[in-house]
Amino acid sequence: MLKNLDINSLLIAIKQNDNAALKHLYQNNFRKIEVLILKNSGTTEMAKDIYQEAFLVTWQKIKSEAFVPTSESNINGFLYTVAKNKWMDVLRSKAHKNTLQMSQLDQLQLSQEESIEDYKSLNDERLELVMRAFATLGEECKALLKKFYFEKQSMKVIASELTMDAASTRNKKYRCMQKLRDITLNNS
Amino acid sequence: MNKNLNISQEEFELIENYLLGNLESSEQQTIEQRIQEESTFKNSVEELRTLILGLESESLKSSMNTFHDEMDKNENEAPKKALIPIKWYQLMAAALIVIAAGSFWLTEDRNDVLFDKYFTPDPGLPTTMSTTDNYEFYKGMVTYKQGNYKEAIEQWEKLLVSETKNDTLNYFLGAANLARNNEAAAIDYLNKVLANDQFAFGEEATFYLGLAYLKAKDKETAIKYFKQSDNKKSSLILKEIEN
Repeated sequence: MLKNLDINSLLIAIKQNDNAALKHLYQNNFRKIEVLILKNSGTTEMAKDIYQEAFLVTWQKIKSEAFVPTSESNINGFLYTVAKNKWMDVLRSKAHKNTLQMSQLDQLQLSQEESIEDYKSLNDERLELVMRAFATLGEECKALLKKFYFEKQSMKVIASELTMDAASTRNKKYRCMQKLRDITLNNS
Repeated sequence: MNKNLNISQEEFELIENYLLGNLESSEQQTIEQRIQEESTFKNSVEELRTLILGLESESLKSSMNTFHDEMDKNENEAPKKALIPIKWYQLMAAALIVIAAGSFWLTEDRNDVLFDKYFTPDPGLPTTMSTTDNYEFYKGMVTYKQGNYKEAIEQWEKLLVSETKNDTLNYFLGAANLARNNEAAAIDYLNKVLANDQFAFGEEATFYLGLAYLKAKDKETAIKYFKQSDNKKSSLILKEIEN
C-alpha cells in the first residue's frame, strides 16, 4: 500500500491516531535507533523502551502542536534526536553510578542544536499521573474512553456496540471521565 | 488539579467539544473568551485537556507494543522479500515518493540477492543435557536453534554485561542478529571476535562479516572479508560479486 506522503494529510492522520500512519512511522524508525543504542552499550530491550518513550513524546508534541513537522523525514529526524537525548541521559546516570566508564560516553555526542528543550519530554507530572490512573481504570471505562478518544469512534457506533442508547452512553463516558479524574487526584 | 472543581455533564461536554474542535467558530470564540476571563473555567479546560491527552498516551502504549510485535514477526517470518506485481505508474509514483520522503524503499538490490543466496544461519552449538556450566548460554542456544533469534538475542545480551569479551557469545550474537537482518548489530559483534586469531569460529565470523557488509551495501569491505575468509562459499561469492 503506497503511503500518501502529503505532510498535511499525514499530520491529520497522526492527530487522529490513525493506526496505519502510526504503525508506518513506528516500524520505519525503530531499527536505526536500535543500532544507535546497541552501538552505545545498550541492549535490544533497552532500545525498545527508549524508542517507545521517544515515540510517545514525538506524538504528544505533534498533537499539541509544540512540534510542527514540515515533512515525514522531519518527523523521523525529530524522533531520532529525542531518542538520542534519552539514551544520553541513561548513559550519564549509569556513568554517575559508576556502572559504566566515563570514556564510553565519548562515542555518543549531542550537538548544541540536538540538546535543546524541544527534544525533551513534556515533563508534565500531571500527564504521568493520568496515564497511570488510566491503566488502573476498570475494563469497561477503559474500553469506552479508548474507543471514543483514542480510536475516534462515534458515539453512535459505541452505543450500538454496548446496546445502550446514545444518551446513556454519553452519560457513561462522563462518569468514566469523572472516575479517571478522581483516581488521578487521589494518587497525586 | 483542584479537588473541588467538579463540573456538570453539560459543562464537560461543552469543553470536550471545544477541545475536540467540534464547535462552530463563533462558539469557539465564546469559549476562548471565557478562558481569558474566568480562571476556574480555564482550569477546567486545562484539566480536561490533560485527562484526554493522558488517556490517549496510555492507549498509544499498547498500540506501540502491537506495532513492535508485528514488526518482529514480519522480520522473523519473511527473510526473503516478496515480489509484488506492480503497475508501471505505481512504480513511478513510488520513485517520486522515495525522492520526496528521502527514505529507502524495498527493491531487489543485487547485494540483497547475493546475501539471500549465500546466507544460512549458523547451525549453533550442540546442546546436550549434560552441559551444566554456562547454563544460561546454552539456554539461549536452544532458543537460537529453534529459530527464535529475537529471544535468543535478549537472553544472550544479559550475559554480555558480565562477559563482554566472550568470543563465542559475541559470535553468536552476531550470527543471530544477521539472521534477523540486523546487519549493523551483526557487524559490531562479529568484529569483536576477529581480534582473537585463535578463535574457533574465526573463519565463519569472517565469512558472515562479508555477508553483513554486503547487506549493508558496502561491497568493498564485503570483498575484503570474503578474500580473508578461506572457505569454499567465499570463493564462489567472490566470483559472483566481481562480475
